[in-house]
Amino acid sequence: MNYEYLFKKEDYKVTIFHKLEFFFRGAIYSYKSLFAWLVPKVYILTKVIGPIFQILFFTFLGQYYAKELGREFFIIGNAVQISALSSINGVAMTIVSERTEGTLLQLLGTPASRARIFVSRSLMHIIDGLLTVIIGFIFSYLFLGISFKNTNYILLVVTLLIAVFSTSGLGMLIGSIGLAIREINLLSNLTYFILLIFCGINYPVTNLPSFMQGISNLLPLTKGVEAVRMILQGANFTTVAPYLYHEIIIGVFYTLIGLILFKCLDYYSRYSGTLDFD
Amino acid sequence: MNKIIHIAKIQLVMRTTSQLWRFIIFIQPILYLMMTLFMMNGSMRTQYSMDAVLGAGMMGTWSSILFSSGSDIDRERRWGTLEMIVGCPTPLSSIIMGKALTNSLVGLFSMGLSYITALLLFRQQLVIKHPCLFMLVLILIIISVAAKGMIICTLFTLSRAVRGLLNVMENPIFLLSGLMFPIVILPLWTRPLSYILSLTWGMDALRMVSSGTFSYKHFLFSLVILLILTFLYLLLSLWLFQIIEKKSRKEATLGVY
Amino acid sequence: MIAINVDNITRKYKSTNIWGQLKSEHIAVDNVSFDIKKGELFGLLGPNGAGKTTIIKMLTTLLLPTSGTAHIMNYDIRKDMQRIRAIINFTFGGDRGLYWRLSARDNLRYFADLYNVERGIADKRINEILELIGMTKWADDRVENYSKGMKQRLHIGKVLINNPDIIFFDEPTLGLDPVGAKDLRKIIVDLLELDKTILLTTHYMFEADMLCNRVAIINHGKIIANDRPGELKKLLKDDVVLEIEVYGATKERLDDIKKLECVESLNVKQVEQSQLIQIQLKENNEIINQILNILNDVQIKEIRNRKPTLEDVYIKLVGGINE
Repeated sequence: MNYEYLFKKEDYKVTIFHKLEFFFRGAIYSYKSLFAWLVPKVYILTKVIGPIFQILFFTFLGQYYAKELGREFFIIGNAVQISALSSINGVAMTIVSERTEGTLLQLLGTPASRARIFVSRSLMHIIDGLLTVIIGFIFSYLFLGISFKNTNYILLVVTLLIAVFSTSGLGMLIGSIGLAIREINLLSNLTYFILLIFCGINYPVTNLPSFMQGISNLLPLTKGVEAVRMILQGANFTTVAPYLYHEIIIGVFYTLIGLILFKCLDYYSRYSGTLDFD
Repeated sequence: MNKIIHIAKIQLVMRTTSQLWRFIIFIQPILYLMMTLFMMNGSMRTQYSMDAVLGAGMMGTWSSILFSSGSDIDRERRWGTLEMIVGCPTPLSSIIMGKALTNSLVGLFSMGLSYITALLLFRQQLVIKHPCLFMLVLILIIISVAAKGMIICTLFTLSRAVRGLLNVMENPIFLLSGLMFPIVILPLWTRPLSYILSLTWGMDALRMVSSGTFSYKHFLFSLVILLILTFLYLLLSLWLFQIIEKKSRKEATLGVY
Repeated sequence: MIAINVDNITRKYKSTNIWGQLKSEHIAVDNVSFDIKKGELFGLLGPNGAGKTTIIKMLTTLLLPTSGTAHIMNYDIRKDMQRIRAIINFTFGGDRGLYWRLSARDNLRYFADLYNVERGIADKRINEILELIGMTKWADDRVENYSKGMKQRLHIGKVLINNPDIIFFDEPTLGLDPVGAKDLRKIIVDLLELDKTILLTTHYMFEADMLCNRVAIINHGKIIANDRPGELKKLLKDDVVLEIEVYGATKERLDDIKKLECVESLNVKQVEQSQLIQIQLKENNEIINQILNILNDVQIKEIRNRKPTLEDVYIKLVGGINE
């Protein structure tokens, strides 16, 4: 038996480049292994057709009850919000699936940093969410007649990326909560709707009673969606910059809380041995 | 008949234990209601709140029947009890009718909840001008939706492929049946689709009797179409049931589909 | 040198009622101590629920002990967790713990990343691992399509991915068919050639007898014996084991046999339709006749006479397993 590499105790330095490599590959593997919508048919139904109908429903609803806001208001709001399917439901599910697959224990026993394990879950979902938004926009362009004249495309993509990242922070927090409780589906669905209600998707945030408006500003998407609406009307970076910073801070905030909760759960499971991580 | 009621009771017990179901039936319609009401400004709210409440109630009913009919069969299939149900003396149609009726009746709950929400949260005074007619239309709608549920159930028993469609069947129906807004604002080519859905007519009738402004001719017309469609649905579902019986006896593949 | 040092380790599980008051306390591991030398294959034997898995979880930093300490290569399990994780690996076997949608190779690559193994080395190592566990042909098929034996083998492959000094196997052959289990045992023995230290838990006595340099027997959270298998078997050196396979022996008959002088212990195993009675007794010609007398109205299939094995030692120490 010539097992050269099985013996080799390579003492090489794990550089920052290696760590980045591990991070990105980990994101791809976790996506591949735990993503429930990889079957094309299911993907199309759940991530394309479903969201498109959401855009249609609210656009017509808005046209009837709030004509003064204009069609684009609803189209943009919903086209961006549908990314939450990936950034909330997808991210949360990937995190919780580790427990149901039985691999969480294996993961926690490796020397990989908890932050790396946790945060890499969201990467592919951010890209997936972005894709959903783009599909929503293309559909709206073709069939609902929104116009992209005056749009700074690069700024648009960057803004969307930030908005989706920010939402994924919330998704990671929910995933962490899901590791502790049983019914994660319920929480994800509820959050999806909360975003619809609070983030100025189908009506300006000012329509809400004042105590609810406070919550809107603490949620992702609120500022991001506003920024996108402005960009489609020709706004440049200086105008939307404050909105983008707001979103980034919110995203980082939720990610950190999710990470802290994750570490706490890790510690608690070691301490009490009662969390069903098996 | 008793059997059906008994089955309906068991259904109810089994159902209320699922959190996701509770969300879809009770919370989701209210969320839609809230969004719709937030969209409107003051004067619009006074005028349209009742319609929104009715719409939300119907959303709950439809979601309930869709979700339970579909996942019920799936669950039975997973537990391996599907063959037992198909094989037992009580005709499959009665069993499923019992289930469908329950699931449909639950819609009344979401209607009630929507009403309370509008009353408390948005301080809207909601009046139903013709309560008796309202109840009549409501009952007809419930039966109609139950019939649709039976069709969905049978389609599910026959083929696994229908499953994927479940998730995407909520919104299209909300749209096409004009639950939250009248179908006039939809493009003309969708009209035929809206017309074959009994909910469209039922919703129309509900709106008429609650607001009180309508012509009896118009109302009767909607009612009649509603009845005819319901009848057709029932026929369709009975026919599908026969196919199920035949298939299960011939091919014995019911559980594995 | 000592690879694993366990010093009076205890693990208690408390259950509290809603007021936070102590309802009951379950002691899963009770003041356990043992040492494992580098390069040894150490077996931890015991029935289900004895505390084997709990001990492994504590030694692999997945669970904190309630009291006591343990050191892995002189690293403290409470304070040096990251360092320990880098030099050990473990598997609990079974269906879980692998990503079903990924292939074997992808699973191994993913874990290689988690263990900070650089990609170039990892890929070459993965090829060697696949050859060692005999999975090269199916390396790129999804795990969900594997048989149970293949999954167990992949578990063993995963365990080698970071070239650990110490490997923990929790019931590696559980649920496998005899041929699959034999293959797996061969692989474990091969690992010793690679100078690994291995801690193996099992409730198959013959497996521990066959594989292990030293064996500890654990029951109800306590270690009741710790020695080389040969030395343990000496405990029964004057005994002989009589195995009688019968159909339908009643409890009365069995009790009668137990009451006989010279009978050390009696154990009954259900083997499909028949029962296998294992009797440990001091060598004595008379006694066999006495036993046969007691069983005169019972249908006897076969009678065997053999030297005690580790299982018999276990039965003597633990007090019999009735399967």
